[in-house]
Amino acid sequence: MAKTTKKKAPPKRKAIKKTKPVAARGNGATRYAFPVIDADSHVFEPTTIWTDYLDRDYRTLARSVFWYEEVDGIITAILNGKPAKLLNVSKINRQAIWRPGMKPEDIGALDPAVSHPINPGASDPKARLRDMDALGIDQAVLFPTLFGEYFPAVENPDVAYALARAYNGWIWDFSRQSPKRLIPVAVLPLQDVNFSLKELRRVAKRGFRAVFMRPSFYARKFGSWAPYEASTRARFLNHPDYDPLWTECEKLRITACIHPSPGSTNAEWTSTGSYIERVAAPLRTGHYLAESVAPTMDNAILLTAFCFYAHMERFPNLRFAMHHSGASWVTLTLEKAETYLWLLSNFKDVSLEPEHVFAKRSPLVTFNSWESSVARMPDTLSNIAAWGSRYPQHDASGPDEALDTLRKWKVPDEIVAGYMGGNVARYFGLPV
Amino acid sequence: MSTHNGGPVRKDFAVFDCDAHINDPRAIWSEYLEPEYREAVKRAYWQEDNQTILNGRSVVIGGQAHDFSTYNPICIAGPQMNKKLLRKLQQMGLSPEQKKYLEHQGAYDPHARIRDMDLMGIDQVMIIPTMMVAHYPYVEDIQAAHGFARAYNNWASDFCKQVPDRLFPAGWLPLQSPEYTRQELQRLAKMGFKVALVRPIDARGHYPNQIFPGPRNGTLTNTMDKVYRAFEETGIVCGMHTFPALPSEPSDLLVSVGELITAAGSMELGGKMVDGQTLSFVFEAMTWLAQVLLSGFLDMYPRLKMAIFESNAGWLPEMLDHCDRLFKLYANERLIKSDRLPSEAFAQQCYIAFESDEEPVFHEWDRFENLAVWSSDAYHHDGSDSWSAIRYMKEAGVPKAAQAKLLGGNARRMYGIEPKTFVSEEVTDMPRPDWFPKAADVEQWAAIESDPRAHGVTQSIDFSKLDPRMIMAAIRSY
Repeated sequence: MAKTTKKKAPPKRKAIKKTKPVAARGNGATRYAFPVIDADSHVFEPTTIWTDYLDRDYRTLARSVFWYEEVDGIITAILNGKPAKLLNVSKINRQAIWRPGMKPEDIGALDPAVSHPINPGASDPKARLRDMDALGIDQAVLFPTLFGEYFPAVENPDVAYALARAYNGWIWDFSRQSPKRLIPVAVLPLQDVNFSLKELRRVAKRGFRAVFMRPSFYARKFGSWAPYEASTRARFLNHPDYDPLWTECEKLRITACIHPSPGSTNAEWTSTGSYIERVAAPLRTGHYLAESVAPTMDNAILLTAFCFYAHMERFPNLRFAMHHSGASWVTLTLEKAETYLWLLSNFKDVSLEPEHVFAKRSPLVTFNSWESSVARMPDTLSNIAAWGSRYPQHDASGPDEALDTLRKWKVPDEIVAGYMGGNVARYFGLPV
Repeated sequence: MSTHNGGPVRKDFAVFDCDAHINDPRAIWSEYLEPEYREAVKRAYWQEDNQTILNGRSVVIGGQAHDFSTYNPICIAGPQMNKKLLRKLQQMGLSPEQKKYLEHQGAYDPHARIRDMDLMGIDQVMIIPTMMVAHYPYVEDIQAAHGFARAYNNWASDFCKQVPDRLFPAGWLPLQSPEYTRQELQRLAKMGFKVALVRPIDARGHYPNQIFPGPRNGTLTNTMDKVYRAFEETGIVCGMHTFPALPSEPSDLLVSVGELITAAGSMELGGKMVDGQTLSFVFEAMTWLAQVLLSGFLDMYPRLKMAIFESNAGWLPEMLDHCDRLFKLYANERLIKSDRLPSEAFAQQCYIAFESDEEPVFHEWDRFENLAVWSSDAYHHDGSDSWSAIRYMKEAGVPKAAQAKLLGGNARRMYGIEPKTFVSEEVTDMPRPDWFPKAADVEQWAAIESDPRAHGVTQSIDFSKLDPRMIMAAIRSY
């Protein structure tokens, strides 16, 4: 007789005591009549992830698979045993340069030939909390930078699994400095579905509420991105191979945070950014420019694919959030999917009205401080849009700028409160 | 797409449709190709009775020559058609006579076009080719490219001369050669063309931003710089026209960024396609515009007028705002001198086309009031009429003066064309043959069809077990 195994209940999250907005309690900053939660905040990964957090067995191997360090302004980046394309054309680390109070003009005036110190808050939790106090941010959802841009391109799935464990160990410890305010998002080794499932279960048990998934193509046969050969083709996140992962996220009540990266350093066929940089090169702009549109395009591809794959219908309890791409593209993307689903008469099992499915599911979509469209369309976005700062990336901003945009268009107070924190709190199960 | 809730729509301004299509007719090849180019074009881009051949080796869908398994999607969205009706028609198993009825002859015949325009609330129109936009950028032979562009432009000119105050031609350019393009732009200016088209893709490794000399970009005096200067000198609008990303010939590198949408789909067991038509247009436009706005390109060509066609417009405000920010952030890294913010440069030199159902545009109508131009995209299967645009605008509270600008005033200002009104009221009763689906039946059927899982349909098509011909019909690559 087969042994019956007791079904394990999903791990319980530790209840967090209800609190007033942290920033409202003082620390010298004024603050807002509602909690402010930054739904798109970043860290810049320190080398301690490799030196202290990576399993000892992998330390030698991982250095040649994926390694990043900066010493005296000189950067070494290694990916799959080769020098990796650097994140920036100049010496300015644009992924970690912004500090509270900085305006775009201040960063634009920096000498690109000189290395400038990064914001300590990018990798030091105490400095991060000081910046959050200064900005009036109560809580922040933390995303990677290097593990966003380079890590999905790691070819060795076993090393990717080890690196994911290391990053997740580090970001967990980072967030322990103030567990109520720093919300860590775990990375998964999406190169391999089994390893991803194992890591998902591990981080859920540890207490993570969310996982990071970059909408990019993941190689199945290493070294090949051939798009039209079924045996070698890369997989996007809608690929049926990933279905068990979505099921598990549903079961564990883990939010899948779809977060793109510019892709400027990546290989062709992985995401839109690499194409943009290649074709733009003859124009000699002087800097990368994929960040302006690639994140929107990558997220839009995934949402379109979700519509065509009936993803939102097949995983009705999945919590997914789309970050770092603005929110105003969502309406257009759903409308285009709807049009072509109607016109594709051979599809029988998919809703032809993805806007309705999306509205019913209400996934979270982050928006940027400058995004007036969000202020102009509260009827469609009021329950789903969540402000993100992009801290400490060069195009970051504080809540004041977002509030200026929202107030300019007279967005009602209750919707402002939802945009600035209420929606993300509800979605991530954070106390308000 | 028009619905008739609330009665017929009336208008008292002239509507200009800045982007509507013909279906590349056989006459371009049979009647308009000049003899000295005939042999070269035969080896480069040649339409026969039942097929079109690219570069003497690749068979492609090439306009009038192609026979589709159901209705012709290039010629379907005429008066009072909509996506629900089209889905119903696809599932009917159409006879040759029914297919012929559904192929709007205005795609080939100017007078038939005018009859449809009257029904669709369109006073004036800029006509644009179809499958040429997909395949012609792949043509390798420079002489053939030149000869074919001349033939198309002569045909388009004659087509529009039949009704000169309502039909306007968009020019086609032999971008394979900057010098031939310059010559053709000058010829087009003399012929009275107001716009000529460029598709922003990397076919043959020649993305149209190659203004600086280089091993692949051209010699010191023969780069795309020559083309943009010719646009400036002639005053012809540079019309960036995008298309679904379906590579006409194999390539190891992406030709269009939109190919990644299709690549997200999978024809493997359990997989499905993801239709690149959804956002390919938008992505090609975004990729082009990001470069133009962040590089200072428009400052190099301050007299250039540029229009972005067939790419929707709802994404533009966020992109402009983000680009303004990036422009400031990269002030010390940008190589080309530029003093204007991207949003300022765009407002001064660019226009963008929008479609009838683009609610985000209507919500932010004040941002688009002076820079957006309406397009029907007729007769392509996602096309629409101006009546539905007016209905959406009214619902969104767009002031009437702004409606007039968005639906015609801006386009005419861009082109320098006088407004003329020929149609002022929607016709709601249109005679149809007996077999044509009745509106009420379609609505009833569509309510079930649109939500299959609520009605117990949960099985996806297993492409691996289908007849390959059925798979091809499902893909419908146009």
